[in-house]
Amino acid sequence: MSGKAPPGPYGFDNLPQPLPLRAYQNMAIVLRTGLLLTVILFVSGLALFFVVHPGESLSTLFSSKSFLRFLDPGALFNGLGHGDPAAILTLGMLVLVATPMARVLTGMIYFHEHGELDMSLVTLAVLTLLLVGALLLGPFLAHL
Amino acid sequence: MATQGWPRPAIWARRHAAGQYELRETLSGPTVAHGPVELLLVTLLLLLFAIGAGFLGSLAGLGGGVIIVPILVILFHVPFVLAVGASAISVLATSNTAGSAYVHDHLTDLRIGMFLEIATVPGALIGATLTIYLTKAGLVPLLLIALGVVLLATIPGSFLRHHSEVPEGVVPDHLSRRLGFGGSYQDKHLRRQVDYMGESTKPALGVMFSAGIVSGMFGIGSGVLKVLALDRAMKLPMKVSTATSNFMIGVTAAAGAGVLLAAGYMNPVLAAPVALGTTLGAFVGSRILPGLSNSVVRYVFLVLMAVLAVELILRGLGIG
Repeated sequence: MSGKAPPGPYGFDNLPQPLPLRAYQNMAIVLRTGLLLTVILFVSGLALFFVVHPGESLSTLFSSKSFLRFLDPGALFNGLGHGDPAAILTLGMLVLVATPMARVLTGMIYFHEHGELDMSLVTLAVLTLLLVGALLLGPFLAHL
Repeated sequence: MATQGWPRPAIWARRHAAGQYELRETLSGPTVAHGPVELLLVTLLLLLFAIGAGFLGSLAGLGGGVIIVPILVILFHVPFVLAVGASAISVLATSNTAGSAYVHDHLTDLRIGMFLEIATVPGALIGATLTIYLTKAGLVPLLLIALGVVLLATIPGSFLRHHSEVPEGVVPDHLSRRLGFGGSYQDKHLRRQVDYMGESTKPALGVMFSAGIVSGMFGIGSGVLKVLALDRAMKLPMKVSTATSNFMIGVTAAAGAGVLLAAGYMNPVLAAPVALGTTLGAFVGSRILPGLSNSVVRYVFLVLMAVLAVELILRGLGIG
């Protein structure tokens, strides 16, 4: 390639090695498992919702109030224990949001295992930002 | 509230009290009662519309998520912030489906994807925060106009062609050399091994930050901006650029969705059928895509997007 390239361990003359096949496979498994779980939870939760709450009004679609309680882990587990469809659907959303986070964690582990300190720190920062958003920023905005 | 008295052309409009976009109703729902059959019917309609959006979006190469918010807001009169939440959930679901296939094919550059997420994730956090803040401040019309403008801007952007199958004259920058932004893959079409490296990582970070803000604000994938960063700035091969962009969409959407969910702006009864429908539609679309000439579908989709965008802007301006 033409041009003056800045120094570094990698270039066209020394291409970086791809992550091991196992890393790719594990990430695909994480994504597929998360998606499968979500689909199961969404389908069963929706079906159960219309069985358990046949008289629910259309207003349900325009409100989030009746689902807020399941953001509390205790209430969520209690709701799941009682087969509450809203709790099942909320768990589906949580699984869906958590799936990419699990994928980032998987990447971080592999970068760490292969001694790529810079990339493992980058993925740690991404994971931290995701957790800060969901665990601190979101609840803060709820009470703004 | 500035939004009171907007026209409600859909069949459910007349049943709603004016001002349904107000925050109190986003959280507690409108007080007007509806029959139980309606909820089931509307949920089935949501599912059908989402299947259609996912299918057309997949054939058009833009993703169905881009028209989910306008459909929910204009046709179903869902409060804007809840529509954004449902759309973000649907984008997450479809990106998990596409992402797993791309990762499995080893076309995704994991280093580049994960590094650029350092820009898209804070962007998405800021975007979701902006949407919640503007909703609380009663400025939903501003959000409607902004989304309309973004959709209109996406239309010419969607005609951006990939730089080339395999870009030439790439000069790896310092970050690419240090962090290993490059690699090689076996291209079945070209019947050879393609070696690549990235360049201009810092400009790409800036574009990705903007993509994150748009994604977080409106619950969309911002694929056009991501292609700009990966394809135009970093000069990655087309296949790597597409796969890496899809890989990143999930994490970006998760950042925005996480904030909206934790802040209480998600309705699972709304989000579940939308996510299921969009994913199913996109899956079917991707299966039949290779055997279909999609230029007509693409133009139909873009026209539909333009109509929805104009409707959003008119509503934001209180016209129509």
